[in-house]
Amino acid sequence: MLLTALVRKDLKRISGDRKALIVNLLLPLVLTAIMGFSFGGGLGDSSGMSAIPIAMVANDLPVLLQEKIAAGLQESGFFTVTWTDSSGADLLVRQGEVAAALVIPPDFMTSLVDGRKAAVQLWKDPGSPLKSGIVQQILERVFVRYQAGDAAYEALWPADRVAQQDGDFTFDEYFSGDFNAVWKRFRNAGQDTVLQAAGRDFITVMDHQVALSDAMASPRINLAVNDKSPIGAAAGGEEANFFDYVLPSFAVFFLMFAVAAAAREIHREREGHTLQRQLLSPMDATQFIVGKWVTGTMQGALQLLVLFLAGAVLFRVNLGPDPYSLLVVVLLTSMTASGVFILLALVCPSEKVMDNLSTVVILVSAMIGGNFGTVEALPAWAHTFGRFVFNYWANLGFSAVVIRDESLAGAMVPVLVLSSAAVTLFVSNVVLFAARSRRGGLL
Amino acid sequence: MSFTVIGAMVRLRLVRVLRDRLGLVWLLVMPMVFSYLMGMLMGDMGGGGPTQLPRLVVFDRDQGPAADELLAPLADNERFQIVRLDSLIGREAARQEVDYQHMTAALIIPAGYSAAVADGREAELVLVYDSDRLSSQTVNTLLDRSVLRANTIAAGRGLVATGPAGKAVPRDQARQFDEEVFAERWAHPRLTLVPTVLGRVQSDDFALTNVHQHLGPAYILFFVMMFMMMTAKDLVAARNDRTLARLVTSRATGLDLMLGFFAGGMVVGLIQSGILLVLNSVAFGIDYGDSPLGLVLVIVLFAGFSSGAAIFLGGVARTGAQADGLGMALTMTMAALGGLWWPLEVVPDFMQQLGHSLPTGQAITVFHDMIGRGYGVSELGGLLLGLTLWTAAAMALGAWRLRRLMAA
Repeated sequence: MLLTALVRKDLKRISGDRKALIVNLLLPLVLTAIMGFSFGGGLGDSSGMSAIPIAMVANDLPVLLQEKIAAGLQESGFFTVTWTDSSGADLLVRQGEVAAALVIPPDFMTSLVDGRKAAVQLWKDPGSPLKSGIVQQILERVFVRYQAGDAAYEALWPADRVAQQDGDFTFDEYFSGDFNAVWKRFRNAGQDTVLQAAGRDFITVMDHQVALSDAMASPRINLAVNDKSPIGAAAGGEEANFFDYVLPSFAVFFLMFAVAAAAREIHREREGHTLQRQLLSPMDATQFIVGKWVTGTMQGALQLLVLFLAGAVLFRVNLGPDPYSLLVVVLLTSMTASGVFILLALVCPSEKVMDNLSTVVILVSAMIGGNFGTVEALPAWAHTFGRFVFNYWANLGFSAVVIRDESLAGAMVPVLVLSSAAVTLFVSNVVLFAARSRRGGLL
Repeated sequence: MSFTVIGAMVRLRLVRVLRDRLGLVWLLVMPMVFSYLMGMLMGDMGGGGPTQLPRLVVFDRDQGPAADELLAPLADNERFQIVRLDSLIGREAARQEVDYQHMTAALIIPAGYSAAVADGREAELVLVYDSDRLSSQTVNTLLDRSVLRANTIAAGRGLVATGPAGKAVPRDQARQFDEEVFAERWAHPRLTLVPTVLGRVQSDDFALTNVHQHLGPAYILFFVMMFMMMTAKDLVAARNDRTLARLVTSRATGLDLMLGFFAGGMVVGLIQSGILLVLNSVAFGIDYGDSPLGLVLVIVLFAGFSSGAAIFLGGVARTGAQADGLGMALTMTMAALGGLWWPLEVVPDFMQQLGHSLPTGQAITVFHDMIGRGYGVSELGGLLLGLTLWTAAAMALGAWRLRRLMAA
């Protein structure tokens, strides 16, 4: 009876602060929506990063090839291309108008045909490291494929290179003009023996290129790449939802603020002298701590459930394979969180100290517990400490149920850890509260 | 206007901040801890030497020469370490291991892989990786390259004519595949890509490619705003315990009080920013560009904006808890939208425009332009003007709210 009255009183007090409630519920949803708009979580027409603007300097390339390259880059949807000269490209990159400029040197094609070395410049914008990095990565993939083909060709048909180097024809002479001009040049070689020889060489090279290309089209070694997340399984028909990753992280992060505020009530009651009056009542330490713990747990669980339900409606967040798995993880997470912050309240001498310390604890544990990113990337000490914060296990539990759509069996380890932590914290809090009240530390 | 009153209010504010030891943690320690840890997270580089690098676990049931050759280009990488086991693991179990972050990637090499490569038969390798991690992406890229090399060699060998010696070689085949020539050409390709950063300093590990060059200034701005918003509850307390009412009845004018509150916040913000700029420079080697005036202006304007916004918040909130909650909400939303958590270049155009219209987005872009492009005040004029307008607006709102409170 006393316990019910205590919980009812605390819940009434918490629900009285409407603005705090709105912040705790609305902020995670707002931040999740911002992440969705920013990284293409499927909100509206948003699809993440925009096409990357690049400049191309390749005026010596045959028009035919320029058109092909431009069309290929535009159609890929990843790039918007501006053709310019080298000084224009330099300016565009330095002003941040394009993320990168690809500068193809004069005589580029002739160098390749003649077997000489050629260096392509990639000028990158210092203000766009990610976009220019993507351009570099894509180009490096293209270059390494060229490198493989070129190395294999030379290892197979070295005589072709010698013939090209000894030839009287340069690439420009072969391929200047549009397609019709090139075709007519070869068709109408007539009695021109140099052109005839060049044509024969050209056909041999093309035959070898086609043979090599065919051989490389069916690789003997297949590298099957699987991403860790269901995004990797998307090819198998499952569609990953970006918000399944984001919302649980934010929900746990803001749960900590709410539960910390509930635990701070102990200090408000102490400073307002209502705690002393409660201690004079027939209520014992266990009942008092149970009351605070139940209040914190109810508040936390309610907040998490509202967030997940809102997430399901607004962002199609997955609520798990069955009705109880998410509920169990939510309850255990709230019970443990409540235990952690009640413990913090009991060791802090005043509300002000608790206020500052709880925010530090929240931010640091959010970071080392994985609410802001993968924890293994952290230094070893932080990685090790990360295992000792409750939100690390809560995050794992939510990952299993929400992201991987697994039932409790799949989340067994985090569920067991959270359960043990909740019980241990509860017992510690009862003992500590009893000890402090016996010594008069709460008066 | 009484400078004595304003000076006294600023002094009082400073004394209160300095006396609060835990507040100092917020002021200085947390921004540095965040910068350090987030740098690790975003750079995906664990400290403490090669034994603590993220692990690529190779479940190698083959243990043959082709497996050695496949893994050779991945050895001694600065982003990950290879742990080679002769045990077996299923694809699903490997996925779970990567998912639980026990390893950055897992590679499964089946038994008989080397024999299959030698005989030109087909073989399948399985890589489970984490696309969110730089170390894992590097594994994927290097392995893809190594597999391409092996496949090219296999393709080359397959094009060698097998008929009796002396017989003419068909046009689509070759007399031999010279592996030495292949190795030489692979190691020294004829076509190369030469990347150059066209910034103040032409280095690939400079400007924002070095993650701390973004995070250092970003967390300075974030914690200056956060700290200022957290002090908004002091104004709420001053209202509730009637300190403000007593100040109104003193010889201080409304303007004195307003400037006192504003300057107090601003001085704290400036001291905090100054110390953090130095600490970041020393700890992470951050270079702030070539324009000290630009640096001073952006810090002054941002501290001014934060101070004005905190006064407004302190005037709106009814309780300290409300001020804390609203302050946190405002700071986090502006940080997320303005590019303090992630660079604005990664978000769609409309989000970039929104970000650049906010004071957080304008301030961090000033830093980016100074660090990366070497911009001075003249090139930063537009952004600094935007920041000035925000500061003026925040001050005006704060003054309006404070006047109403004083009138009440």
